[in-house]
Amino acid sequence: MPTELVDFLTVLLNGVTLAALYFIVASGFTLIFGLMRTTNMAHGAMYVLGAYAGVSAVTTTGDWLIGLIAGFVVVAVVGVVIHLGLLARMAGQDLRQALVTIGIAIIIADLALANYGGIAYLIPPPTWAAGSIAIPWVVGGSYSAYRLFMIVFAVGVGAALWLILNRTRIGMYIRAGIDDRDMLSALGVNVSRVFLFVFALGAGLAGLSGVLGATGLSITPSEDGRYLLSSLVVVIVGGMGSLSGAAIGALIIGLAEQIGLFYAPTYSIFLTFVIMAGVLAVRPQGLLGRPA
Amino acid sequence: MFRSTTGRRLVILMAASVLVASTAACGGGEKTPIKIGGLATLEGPFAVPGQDGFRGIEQALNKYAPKNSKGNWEIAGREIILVRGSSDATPAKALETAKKLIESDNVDILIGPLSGDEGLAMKDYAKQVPDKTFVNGSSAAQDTTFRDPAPNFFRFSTDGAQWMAGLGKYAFETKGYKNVALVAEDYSFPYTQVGGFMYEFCAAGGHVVQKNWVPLGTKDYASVVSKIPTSGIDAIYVALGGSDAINFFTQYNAAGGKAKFIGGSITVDQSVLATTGAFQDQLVGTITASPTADTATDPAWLDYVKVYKETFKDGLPYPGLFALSYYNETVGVLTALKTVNGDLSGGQKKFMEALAKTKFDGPTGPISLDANRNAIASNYLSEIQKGADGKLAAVVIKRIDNVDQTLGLGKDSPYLAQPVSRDFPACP
Amino acid sequence: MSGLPATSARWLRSREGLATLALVALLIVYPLVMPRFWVLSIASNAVILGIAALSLVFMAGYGGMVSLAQASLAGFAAYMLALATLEPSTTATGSAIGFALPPIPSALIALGLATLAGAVFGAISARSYGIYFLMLTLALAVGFFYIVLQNYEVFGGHIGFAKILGPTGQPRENPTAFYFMCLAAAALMYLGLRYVVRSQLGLTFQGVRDNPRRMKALGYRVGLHRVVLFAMGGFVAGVSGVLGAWYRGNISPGIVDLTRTIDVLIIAVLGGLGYPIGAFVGAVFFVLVDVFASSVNILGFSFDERFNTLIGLGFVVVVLVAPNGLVGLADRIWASVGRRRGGGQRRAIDPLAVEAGVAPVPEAPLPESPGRPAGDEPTPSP
Repeated sequence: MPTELVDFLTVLLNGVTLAALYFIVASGFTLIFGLMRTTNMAHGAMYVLGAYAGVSAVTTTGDWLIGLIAGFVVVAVVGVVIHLGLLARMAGQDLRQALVTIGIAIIIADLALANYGGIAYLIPPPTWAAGSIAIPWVVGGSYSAYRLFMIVFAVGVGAALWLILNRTRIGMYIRAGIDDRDMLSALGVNVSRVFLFVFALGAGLAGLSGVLGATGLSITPSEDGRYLLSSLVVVIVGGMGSLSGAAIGALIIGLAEQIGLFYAPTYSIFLTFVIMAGVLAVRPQGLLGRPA
Repeated sequence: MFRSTTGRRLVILMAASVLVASTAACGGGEKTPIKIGGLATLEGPFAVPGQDGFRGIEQALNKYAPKNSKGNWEIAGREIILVRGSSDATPAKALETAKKLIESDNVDILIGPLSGDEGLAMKDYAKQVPDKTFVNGSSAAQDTTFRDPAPNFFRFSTDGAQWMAGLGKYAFETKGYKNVALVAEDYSFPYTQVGGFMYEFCAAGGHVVQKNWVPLGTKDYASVVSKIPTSGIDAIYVALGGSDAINFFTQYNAAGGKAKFIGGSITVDQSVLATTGAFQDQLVGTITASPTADTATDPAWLDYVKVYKETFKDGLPYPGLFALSYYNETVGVLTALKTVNGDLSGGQKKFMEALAKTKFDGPTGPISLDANRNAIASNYLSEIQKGADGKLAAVVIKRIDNVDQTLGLGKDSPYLAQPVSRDFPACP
Repeated sequence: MSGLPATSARWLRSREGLATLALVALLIVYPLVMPRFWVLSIASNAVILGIAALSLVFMAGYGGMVSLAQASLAGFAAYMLALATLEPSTTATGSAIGFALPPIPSALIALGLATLAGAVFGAISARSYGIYFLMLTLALAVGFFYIVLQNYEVFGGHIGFAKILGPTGQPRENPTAFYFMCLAAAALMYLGLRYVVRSQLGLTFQGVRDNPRRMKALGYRVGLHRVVLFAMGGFVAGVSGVLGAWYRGNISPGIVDLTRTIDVLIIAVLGGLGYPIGAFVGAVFFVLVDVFASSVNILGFSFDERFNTLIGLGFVVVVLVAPNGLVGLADRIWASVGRRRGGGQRRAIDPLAVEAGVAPVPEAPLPESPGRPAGDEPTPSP
């Protein structure tokens, strides 16, 4: 196989595996916005919080799965607190909610720094997902097993979310609420409870992705900005409130980053923003998004 | 929409209170205590090194300006007040804090900043305040002193290129690495480190065949890993810091990479070595250079480490190069203060003259200043090895003394003709 | 009390006139009595930040466009200023572009380019509203940061540019002159925006903000107006950027990073998004906290290292309790404590109540926009 093709296939695979992580991060963000119109600017901070919860859990118990669950649960609980304590009181005031979550993000990131210090932590991957797998058509002939696992996991999360949205009652309420909040409330559904569920779910997903990312890519307290922005870009490109949009957006952005990094490293990060600006100039609600 | 009157009244009220507050703050300015301002990053990813920097200052003060009966540091009969300031590793914040320390807190001597870009900005500011002494913290950009220096800026620590002294030569001659690829972050400090490595490596006859400059903010190195040639290179020079280094090693290892590594000064430091992961075994045999070495056995170093551990219960396992830099800078200041008997009068002229001529023996070897007031000091060459307890540690190969800013090449060397950048120096 | 007074003399004798005179007198006397640090690092710095926040307040209040790109536009102006005013560099890490022009022409070029950049941003975001608009501008700002960080040929990369000198020379050597220059610029921007707001253009902007669909039906080119508004925001931000570059003497990527981007928003919200004077009040408050927060000790718990937490908490409190910022808070206190002036209880728009794509609803008609029919209800815009 010619080296250029091997390079390109490897880079594609890199992009898809990175997209897997971005999808999980962004899915929570897009769900929260799609239903509640809340721009959770603390989403990146929640990622960091989940990652550190995972670090602590794995260090104490030695079990990666427990770390994963810890990441989900801890952040979901924090999300519940933030929602009930702050956001629910400003229902409908999107800008104020966005601003409050900015303040919360600053606080969470600083407290994480205070507690865990500025050094990086790397969660060791579970033994059944560690090491490399021989793949003939990639550079060097072997590829990280954990990255491949991330694809599988992301597909799993996507499937689970789809099932929740399309095959459960609460999922039906969520989809209805995304379409028309007021009608849902008029039909007698306890909308605030649905909101709470979605916010907790979205936050939990952020925390979950934090553990995933901390395993593959390590974590420091200052990563909150990075992942908030990635989620933002993915969701903006894919369309707010659309899960399949998040998947497509994640693929586009993940591939763009890795392709850029390989072929034009100096401007690879800038490239993702060009794509985003381009999509938005043409289709302001994102590729699969619905208009406000 | 314009709440004119009320808005204006509010502004008046605020302005008035500011006036009152500042008149209160304006007072003070007794000349007897010496005020030293300490500037380090306490925000963001450099918070941990920043805290260590302050420990370095305090340890030096404890030793050379021991506390008097009132519990304050004292030298030559004058008490020392340490005023702390923080930055966030951006030159803008560092300058603002420096201005506050110099102009509002009226410090006599400023020790800082921590990072390279901040140091470059500080040099320019120093030129505007010729009657105060600016001493470096740990910033290690070459041009802070090498080109267009400020007459009142002093650096008792070495620059990023000096931190590589001994490495390039050892890599080529002893390890036999002839062709090297490099992975480094795309900004000034790695440029300086790579420069220092290449000065010796290229001069000895080595070739750097591929340079991978990775933008700051990259977390996923997968595609960089894919780019590194799988054959034709003997080693990869990696100048990444902290979590980025961990990411890179993990991903390189997972992709099945087999090359040996040459590490920058912050690439294989204690935090990276302490992180568990499959890549650990691959790090064995990595050579690196740095102004500090945890496993050095010099008696002065051992004593320094002992005092550090006793004084700072919440400190790092070993004092890092940030603590050491700030320590040495403070020792230089205190030594000169002793020489002039605490005399900072006359625009600090006498003090600055004494400071420029100050020599002392630091924990890692003798330190003196060159004509640009930059340190001529020691550097350690180390190799990562696995100890009997299975843990990785950097074992000292040798210590090189009296390294100057040209790494022995001389000011007229073609390798030093231009400032370090992505493409310079080059030896493909 | 409403728009333009009948005669200047009567205005000067009114409460508003006297207060204004007192304020102006205070601002003029300030640099003559205060030490240099307070003139430059506190007051001038606050004024410069305030102008940037003013551009945001203007766009948010009158255009419904809460833009996070203002710091970037200011930074862009600073970069263009550097290119215009410095010599070209001969090193690989410097820009080969440089025209070595004197400060004032350089500034004009920079402002022109910043206005253009604002128009470009406006064109990209013309069809985005509300929260979408906010996020798009945030992403544009971060994208801009990564360009200037990585590109050496034009933007000097990681290092940026230094030795940028303004028409008053080194601020340290002429603090009073520098201060007055900043103050004059701020006054010009403030009064200029007041003028625009009362003009036909200003009314059109408000119409576009409140009901784009209806405006379009009336024949107004909504997209174009939003582009023009963004361009104006770019101009005002550019003024802040130019002054900032002269104040620091340099420009580097750290000036347009995520922290500084959010800072402008924090300042505007602190002061009050509905009050143009709020931009400056917020800036003064912000600068004071930023400079002196590390010396704060509450119950023995020093915020020395945790001042980000302090600022985050303060921000959350303000957003919760004082949605119209400090100026709005003062307004409410004044209205409830003091007597009512003619005109009754007037509340400014609460811009924080903006919903995605839905225009903010004022609680009572505003005297500055007499042309608006009463009972006008906004409908969700596409």
